[in-house]
Amino acid sequence: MFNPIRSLELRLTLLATTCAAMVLCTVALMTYFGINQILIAQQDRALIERIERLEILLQDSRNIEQIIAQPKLYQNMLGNQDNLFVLLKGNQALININPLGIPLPEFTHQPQIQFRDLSAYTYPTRIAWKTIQINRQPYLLIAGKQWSERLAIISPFKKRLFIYVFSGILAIFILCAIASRFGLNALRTLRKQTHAISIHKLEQRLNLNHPPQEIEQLASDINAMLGRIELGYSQLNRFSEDIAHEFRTPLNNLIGQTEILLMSKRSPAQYQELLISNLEDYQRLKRMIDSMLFLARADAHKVCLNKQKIQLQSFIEDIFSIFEYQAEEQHCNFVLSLEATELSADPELLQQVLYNLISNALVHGGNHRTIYVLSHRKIINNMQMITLSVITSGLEVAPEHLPHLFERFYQCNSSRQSPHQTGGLGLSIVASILTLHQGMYQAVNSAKGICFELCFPK
Amino acid sequence: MCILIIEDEVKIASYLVKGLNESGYEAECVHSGLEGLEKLKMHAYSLVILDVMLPDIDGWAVLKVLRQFSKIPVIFLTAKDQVIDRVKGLELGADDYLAKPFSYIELLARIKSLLRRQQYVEENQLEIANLKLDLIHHKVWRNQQPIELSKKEFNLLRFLLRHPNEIITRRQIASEVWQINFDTDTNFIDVAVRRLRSKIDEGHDIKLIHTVRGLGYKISVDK
Repeated sequence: MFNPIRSLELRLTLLATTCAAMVLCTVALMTYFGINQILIAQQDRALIERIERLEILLQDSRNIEQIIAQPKLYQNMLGNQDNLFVLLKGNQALININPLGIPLPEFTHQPQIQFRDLSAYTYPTRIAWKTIQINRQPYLLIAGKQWSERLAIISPFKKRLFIYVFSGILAIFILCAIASRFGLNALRTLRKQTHAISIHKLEQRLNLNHPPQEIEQLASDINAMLGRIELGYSQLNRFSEDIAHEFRTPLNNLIGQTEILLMSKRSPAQYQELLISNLEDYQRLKRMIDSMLFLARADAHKVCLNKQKIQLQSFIEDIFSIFEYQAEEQHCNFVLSLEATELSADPELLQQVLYNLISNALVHGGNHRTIYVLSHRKIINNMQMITLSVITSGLEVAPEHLPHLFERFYQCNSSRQSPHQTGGLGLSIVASILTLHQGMYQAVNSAKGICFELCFPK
Repeated sequence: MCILIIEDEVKIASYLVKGLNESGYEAECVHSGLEGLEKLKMHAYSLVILDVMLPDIDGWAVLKVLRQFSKIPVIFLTAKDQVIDRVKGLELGADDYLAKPFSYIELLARIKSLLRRQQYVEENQLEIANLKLDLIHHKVWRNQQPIELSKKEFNLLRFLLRHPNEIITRRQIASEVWQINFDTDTNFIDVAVRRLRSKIDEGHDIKLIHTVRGLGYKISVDK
């Protein structure tokens, strides 16, 4: 279901717009206050200038008398109504030009120019005052300028600034929306292509035209995952087919032989013969089912590991003793050489691993072989590991088979039928057990012969 | 000695009754847990074979109730041969455990060993016909002639002699003599038995070690 709040596009747009709005507002505010500051400074300079000019003017006593006599003249001189000019001597106003009738507070005598805002009135005004000495008499000189002049500049500026910022934010919002729509285009394509992949089209891969790097990485990760799924799925498919095939062989025997026997009257010995043959096939089926069950459980990590410290010398000698007679009959011999003498593993599972490998060595190796079991200490990926190698002298496996040896039901020679084996599951059980132990395994052709190398974490 | 089989699958139950009768045991079967408990309260049985999956109450529940009034040996049968079931069964007081599909001969061996458990005495010497095995000195004689056996051969012979006239499966031998408890092909057992047989029986008119085709081996005077 499409939820606009959770839309990445909208979220990106809103996020970018909010950030841009914050920056724009800050810049606008700073501009506004900066201009205001400049205007105030300008105003103050004008006031200072006026006071200084008058101070010079008033130093001449003739002038002061003249001004006192004709305040109107001076008022006219100042021109507009915005200005205020008062000259006080004590409480007596010698000059009082205050066209707007702004009430003035009490001023203390100050030798330096002082500033003050009278903002509580209808006409807010900025006032500057200074005490000057004329003929050793203190006079208070007050000059004022209405805010209106400054406000006349700053107010429209504020309004425009507001409009600019607002339209800026709107423009950013729209641009961001368009940009993220374009930017996420690849994602939409990705989604569409992913959606089209089904179990029947596992070979399909995602293919985007010049995608952004992040999406390209995502796509290549998904492609890699698809590769693994395809491989796993085809292995699973082949596995099911192989299972069906492997089951069919004993079932075929069972059905065929039983049918033929029942077609006419037979002697008890013949019936017995059939039952024995059937029992062998049942046992073969049971072994296969057990093996598969084990593999399935190991895959699902449902096998409980009973890890113990195992003394390899006696443990492996015990396993050699299983094959003692077989080896003797095949003129094979065992060589045990241990650099690491102890291993932590599940004894029953390790027994099965070594059993399967040695049994394979005898079955596939034939006569006159030496089977080496070696242990080494190794450091792999900064981890202390113990490797166990089972080597069959003089036996090689074609390199193209090597990577597949641990696959289920993989047989190098597909025509070979060996009813005593687990039906091609022996090595996959080895692999599963190693995986359960968080170990590693591989098959390589060593100088001595085919070598199955197992690494157990220490 | 009467054995009660509580198993809802009619085919299994009936062949078990048949098999046990042929092996010299009386056996009865019921197909539900409650019926089974009823029977167990009314009659004295010497052993119970109990399936875990039952239509009314499951095998675990039957065992729980049963253990409140009886210490009769119980063998569990289940299709789910997972470790957790095994542990659960044994914790609840089951005496043994077999996963389906199981071999009848193994079941029989376990029944025998459970019924024998009380009166089991460790002997110093095992013998059959003119074959003698000294458990203390690890020596074997046939017709007073000493026979040299390897350690495994000795263990194998000892195992067979402890169960004279019984069929022993290859799997049992693998587990007992070689401590192999996973399912394997059993070539090596055939080779070992062949070796042992050549040392024990060659040159003697009466053969003692017999192959029971399809099933396993047996040590007995007559075939």
